[in-house]
Amino acid sequence: MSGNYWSRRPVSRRAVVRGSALGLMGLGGAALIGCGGGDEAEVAATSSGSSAATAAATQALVSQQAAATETGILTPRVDHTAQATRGGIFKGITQAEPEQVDPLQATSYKAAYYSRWAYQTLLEFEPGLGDNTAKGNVQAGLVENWEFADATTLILNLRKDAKWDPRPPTNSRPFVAEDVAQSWKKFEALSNSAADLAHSRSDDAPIIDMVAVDDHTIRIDMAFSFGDILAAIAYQRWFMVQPQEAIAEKYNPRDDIRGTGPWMLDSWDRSVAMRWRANPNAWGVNKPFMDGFDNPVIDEYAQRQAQFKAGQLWWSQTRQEDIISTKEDIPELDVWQEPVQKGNWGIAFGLKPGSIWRDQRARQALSMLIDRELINDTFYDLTAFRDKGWPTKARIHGMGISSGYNDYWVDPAGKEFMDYGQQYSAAQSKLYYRNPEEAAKLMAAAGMEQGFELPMKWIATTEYGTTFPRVGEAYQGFFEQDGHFKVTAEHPDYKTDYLPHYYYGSGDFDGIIWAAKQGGAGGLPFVSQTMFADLYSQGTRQHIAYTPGGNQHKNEYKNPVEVDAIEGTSASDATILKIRSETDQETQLDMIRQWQVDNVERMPCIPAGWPYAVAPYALSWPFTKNWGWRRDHLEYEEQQRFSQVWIDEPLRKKLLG
Amino acid sequence: MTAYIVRRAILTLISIWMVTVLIFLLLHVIGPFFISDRSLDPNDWTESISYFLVPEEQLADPEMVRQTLARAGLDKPILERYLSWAGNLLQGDLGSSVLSERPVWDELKWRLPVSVELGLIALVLSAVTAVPLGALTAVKQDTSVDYTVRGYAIALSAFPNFWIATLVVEYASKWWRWAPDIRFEHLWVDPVQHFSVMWLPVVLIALTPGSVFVRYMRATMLEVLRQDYIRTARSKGVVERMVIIRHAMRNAMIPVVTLFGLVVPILIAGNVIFERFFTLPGMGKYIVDAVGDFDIPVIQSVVLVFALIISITNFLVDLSYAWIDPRIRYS
Repeated sequence: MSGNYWSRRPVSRRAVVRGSALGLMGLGGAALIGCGGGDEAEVAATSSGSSAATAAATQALVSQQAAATETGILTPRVDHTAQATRGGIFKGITQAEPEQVDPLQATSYKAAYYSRWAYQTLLEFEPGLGDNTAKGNVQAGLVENWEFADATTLILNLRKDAKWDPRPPTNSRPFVAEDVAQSWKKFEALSNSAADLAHSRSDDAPIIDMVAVDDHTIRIDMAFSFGDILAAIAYQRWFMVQPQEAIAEKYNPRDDIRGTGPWMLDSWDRSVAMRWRANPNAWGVNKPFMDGFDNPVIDEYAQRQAQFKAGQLWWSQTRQEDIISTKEDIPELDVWQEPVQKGNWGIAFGLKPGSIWRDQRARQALSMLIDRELINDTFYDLTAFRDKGWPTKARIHGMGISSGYNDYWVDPAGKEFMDYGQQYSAAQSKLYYRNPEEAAKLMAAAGMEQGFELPMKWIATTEYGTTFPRVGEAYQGFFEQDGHFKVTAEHPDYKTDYLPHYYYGSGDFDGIIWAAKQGGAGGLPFVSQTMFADLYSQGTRQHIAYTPGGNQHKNEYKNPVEVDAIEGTSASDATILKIRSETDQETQLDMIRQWQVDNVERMPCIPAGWPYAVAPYALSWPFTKNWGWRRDHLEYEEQQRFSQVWIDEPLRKKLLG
Repeated sequence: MTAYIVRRAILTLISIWMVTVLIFLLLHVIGPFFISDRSLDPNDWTESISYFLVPEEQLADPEMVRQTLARAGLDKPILERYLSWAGNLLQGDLGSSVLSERPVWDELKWRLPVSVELGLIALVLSAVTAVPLGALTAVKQDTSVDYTVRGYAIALSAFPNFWIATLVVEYASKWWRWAPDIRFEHLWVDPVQHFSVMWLPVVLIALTPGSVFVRYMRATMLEVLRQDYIRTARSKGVVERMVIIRHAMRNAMIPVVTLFGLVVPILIAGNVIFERFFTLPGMGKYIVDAVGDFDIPVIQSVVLVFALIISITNFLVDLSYAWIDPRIRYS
């Protein structure tokens, strides 16, 4: 690997970033899903592609992972179902205890995540198996099959073998269409995601109603043709089905769950543990091998790691910088390389009238001062992995599209997924790479002098983890390194300043902000450009997440600057709405990729280098069989995969005694 | 003595009432004043508070914001809010969390025993080890025993006990694949399992106050040992052990007991880090989460409970002086 990235980079710039990267922290994401892509030891700022190049790149990646598997670094993803034995309680973990577990009036993602262990969606995302990653296609869930009566009417035929929890008050009652209809009413009235789906809450949301035609048939009436309706009702963060007993409060759905899914919430001692047991009424592949899970609430990472190493936890989200040392401490552990995650944060601009950041050239200049590869290498400590011979995989996020979205993402490096028609031109691609000379020219053209005063804001507290502020310092270093900018760093208070004025603000500020989402969840003026990408979808097919006027679209929340402060915003919005209504998946993918390419020069925000741009590693104890087999599409669907996991008790005894 | 107790009880009640007023003012007036960028416009207060109370996903929905603020009682005039809270308190109603909607009392009734037990056992452990050690170092002043014990005490004071806890857990798992038991059960459910979980945090918590007690006890013992009555006792031929235990230690204990009184509330209310680290369902974790979320009903009720604990502890410490030193009479 001669002439690789590291050997070509001057030490001084590494030092800039290294200085900001003390105490690296890996991603806390829960992704344990599909895999693809490969190493990017060297990235060329070119956009030209060919099928030969694609084949070569793909072959190199496959070879590298295969070699890593052969040498025992990576655990082969094998189906152990044929040898499965039933029983046993899995020692798991509750990492983020929810305040309550009612997903239809939930206040945070945590409720949706944990309630999904027992409640189910109408459809589900099809998992990948083994080395095949999930593609995001939907499959039967509580709905057995479906058909479109016309462009705006979807008929769902419900499973007849699904039953509710055997405990009172549901008492194994069969699942019926009225459960769906009543759940919909509750969702429409109470859910904080209602404006994304319910037309009564937002003109741009598709569903007018879910009507029970008979006990086993639901009709979904839509206000308009919505290309992603199936994915939308498969998305667990939105609509889950509760029994009528929950809606009638015959049990307290905030504290307890009665679902149709694989697990039952057996007990929940606040701040202590959530205990789940197998649901005897679970249907099909959801029927678990294990008897249940005991998941203590462990807030502290050091404690989690200690428990994991001692075999008291059987999986833990080990930080990337601790992966190698943990594996060296416990050589028996399985090692999985997970896919690049679906997230994408960025730098946003203040767009007050007269702001220099309304000039596209100024925005482009700033982007060209960031060395994204160096950010990846540094904050994920990729060198340590490479030195040990572990395969590494790093990407650069596209405009509005996280590099974790295979198929949707267009690679700025022009290396991966090059068989698509949509690719960046050389001029577009170079906007993603550090080029101080070119940046200086663009600044001059925009009327900015060297040493331009730049107020730059980011939160210095740990709401986004301990690495986030350090990445902000690294960006500051990039902007100042060659004298382009003189940065004044400002650190707004998260709740009283950052949230109202920036995150939910409207670009009504001076300078720029390094924000935890690409543009922030709603307030920043370019949000409509980026929202449909991956801000909240985090794993669902990204384009469904953007609903103008919906929950995720909050730029009207407070005093918006004019919509077209960045030229072309309205046109981009219109394109997004067209994408949403497209029902042919291939056409839709083409449109999304094209949108991405078409909007990079506008640079409505700056896609950043961190986080999520690297394929992280995960560890598990080897007696948890099938752990790496099922590859869920969504980051938050482990609970589905868990039904396929079984415990190799002899191996457990051998390893842990 | 009875008159003293009655007088102190009345003073304690007045203190508690003043605490309720103070907490309320801090949370409903001064707090919002600061978090709303020092604006005195009540509309800005509620808006600022809404960023704490209302989940981020719901901030865009005015109806959701209104409902949440109403649940927190923030839609009423301030005096009405106070009277309502105080009236409910008198009836034993501490209110409910805005976020989880669970009654505060439901949480407190099983969290409070955990924190009290953690704090008290740690206090007792530190006292029974530190007081004799402190006395020993005084008696053996400037010997190797003195230097060794003082050295450890100073080191333990210098290193935060949560840091020591992290090292213990980290390296035990690395070297011996051992980790502390964290499957908490209440004492009345499974005593064996309970102590299996509690022993390590208790020992680690006891380190810091123990190190302080050792040094404090040593200092007071040295002073007492130089008193005339000690010399008199020795000249009368009293056995040295009796001189130390009956005459010196007992007198040296008075300032140490005051210190106990000061440490108790810290141990009960201040073990946030340990409760988090060892996943113990105590008050510390509860109040910290509530403060982070500006969950007003929880904060004001828990702070009130802490105030009660501190008042009662101080009351008991005052009474204990008379028991330790019969010359002290409350008349």
